[in-house]
Amino acid sequence: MRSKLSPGSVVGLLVVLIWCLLPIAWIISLSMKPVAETTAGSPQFLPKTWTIDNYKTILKDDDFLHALVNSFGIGIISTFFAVIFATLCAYAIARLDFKGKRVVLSIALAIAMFPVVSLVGPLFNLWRNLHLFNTWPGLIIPYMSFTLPLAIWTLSAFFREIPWEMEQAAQVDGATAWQAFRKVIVPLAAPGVFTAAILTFFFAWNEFVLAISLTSTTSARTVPAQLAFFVGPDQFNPPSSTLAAASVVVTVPIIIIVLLFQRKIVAGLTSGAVKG
Amino acid sequence: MATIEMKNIVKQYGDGFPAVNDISIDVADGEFMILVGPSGCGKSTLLRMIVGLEDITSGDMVIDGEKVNDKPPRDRNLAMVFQNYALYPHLTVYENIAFPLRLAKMSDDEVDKKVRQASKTLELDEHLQRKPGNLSGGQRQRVAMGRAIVRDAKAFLFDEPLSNLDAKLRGQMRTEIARLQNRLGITTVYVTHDQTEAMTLGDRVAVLKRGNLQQLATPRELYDQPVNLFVAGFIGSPPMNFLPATVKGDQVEVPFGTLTIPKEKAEKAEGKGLLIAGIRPEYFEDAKVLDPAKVGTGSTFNATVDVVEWLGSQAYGYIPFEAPPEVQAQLTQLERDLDGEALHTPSSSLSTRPVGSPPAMRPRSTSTPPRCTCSTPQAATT
Repeated sequence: MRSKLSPGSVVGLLVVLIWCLLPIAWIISLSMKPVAETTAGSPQFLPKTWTIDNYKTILKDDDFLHALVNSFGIGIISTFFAVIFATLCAYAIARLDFKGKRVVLSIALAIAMFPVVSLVGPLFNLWRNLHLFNTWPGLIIPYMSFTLPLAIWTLSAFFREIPWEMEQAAQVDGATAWQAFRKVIVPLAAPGVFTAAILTFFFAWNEFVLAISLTSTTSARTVPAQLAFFVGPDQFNPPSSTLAAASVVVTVPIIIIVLLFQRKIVAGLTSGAVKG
Repeated sequence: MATIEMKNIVKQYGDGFPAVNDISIDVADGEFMILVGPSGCGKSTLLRMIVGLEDITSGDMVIDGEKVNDKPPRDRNLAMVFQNYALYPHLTVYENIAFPLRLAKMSDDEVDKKVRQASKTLELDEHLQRKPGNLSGGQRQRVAMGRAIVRDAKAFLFDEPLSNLDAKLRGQMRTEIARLQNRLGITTVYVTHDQTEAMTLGDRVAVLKRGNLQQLATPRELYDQPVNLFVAGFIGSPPMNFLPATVKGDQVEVPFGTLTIPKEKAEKAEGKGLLIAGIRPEYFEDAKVLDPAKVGTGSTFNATVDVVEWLGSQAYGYIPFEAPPEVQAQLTQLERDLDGEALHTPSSSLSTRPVGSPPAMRPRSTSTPPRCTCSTPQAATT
């Protein structure tokens, strides 16, 4: 597999890389421009004067910091519960033969396909009556229900790959069903668990429609929604460079998380369990 | 250490197919019991019912005098080696072996002591910190055995443990298992489809066919006194020759000539019409190379050998013959039952050994009655 790349594929790869990375490079360069420069309109790619004032501004902004905390809190909590529920559910689906298994799976898929916007109205009213409006649970619950289906599908695929014998061996070795699940099955399905976790966290982190509709103050508003409220000193000129800086700050945690989890998502973890 | 008694065990699947049909086997304390048969004979199902991974439809499973039908596997205290080893890939070899001990909540010192002891027995010391994925087939096999011997299980259960190894390693591991069982003296039930493993390892062997117990006996008994054509054809390699035969007086007519058998045997088969004679290949000799003194003790015949397989210490010769249709049908059915593995070309050729250059064969009958299985096409009448 370690063959040399042909000049053609090098060019192709470069094109793809530039295509993908150009917006990121641009947003970083934008975030380095002084506010005055963007307000005046700045057609050039690189800033005339480099500055990190934008970062200082947003990191001093209490509303933004609040939103950041909300985003982390809501993202982590919904990921945690979604993964636990999805793991248990997917295990049952992969292992047990029960009536209505297909129905459960298709309904789960249907939920994932439901347009979020169509639920905003009903949820808004429901949450107001239940006093969940503008609270963390008010966002965590819909986030979980939207990410669970995908997590369940991913995980049940992983569980199906694990040979039955693993679990039977554990049971013969003296494990209860729960011990076999926790000590053998879950570690083996770890790549699936991490995949599901990343997907869930992404969704919660990036979600905008629900975040802006179901919140009214910074007590629950997440970063994507908060960015929409960014006005800056002059309300006729959006503070593009400050927004760009905020976007960079919001992207960094995602990149770190992906890099951290990426190492866990190694295929072929089960190699060596059985012959072949 | 324990006895295992199976009393009229039946396993029926949802569609009513009896995978195991009314089988009763008693395994004595410390005995090495083999369950053997072609694939689909229910041997693995039976083993899984002993260990508790499969529900028992009816009958009693009694281990150490205690009925365990409704006990989960973890309460039966049996150790099992799976066909594909079922090692835990996320744990090191050490932790794999220690797994049952950790579940039993043993202290670290005790775990360490037992794991070291097991790894020493199986020569796994240098691999303890490796992951199963980096081990060879034979090493994985030993780890799987380590996990079984590390705890004081009442019995060992092996589910075709050697079928994933290559032929040479299989031979080595077979000896190793025999040695281990000898030393530990622990009750063992061993499932295999390989008759060589069955013959070499077992104290007693249970031959199964389509969920039914055919014969339960020592390897020697199975070889010398098979109760039916299936057992006769299954045990022995190369397999027993089945020839159409007619008995007249003390003469047996087979496709290539006439043999003489003892009076008392002949009387039983007299007047039964067309029979099947089962003659093991080793009772054929090449008359040209045989000690002349012995030639007179058997009958001599001439036949054409169409294929000779030379194996160094011995050679197999194949002699084609025509079988009458009624025998042919039965032999074809038998071949199907035996999975087509055991017999090369059963109905149309005869295998003999050893064989020299001239194709003159003679079935040798010694002072003891010739070990022929004579049976009518319907029932065995040895």
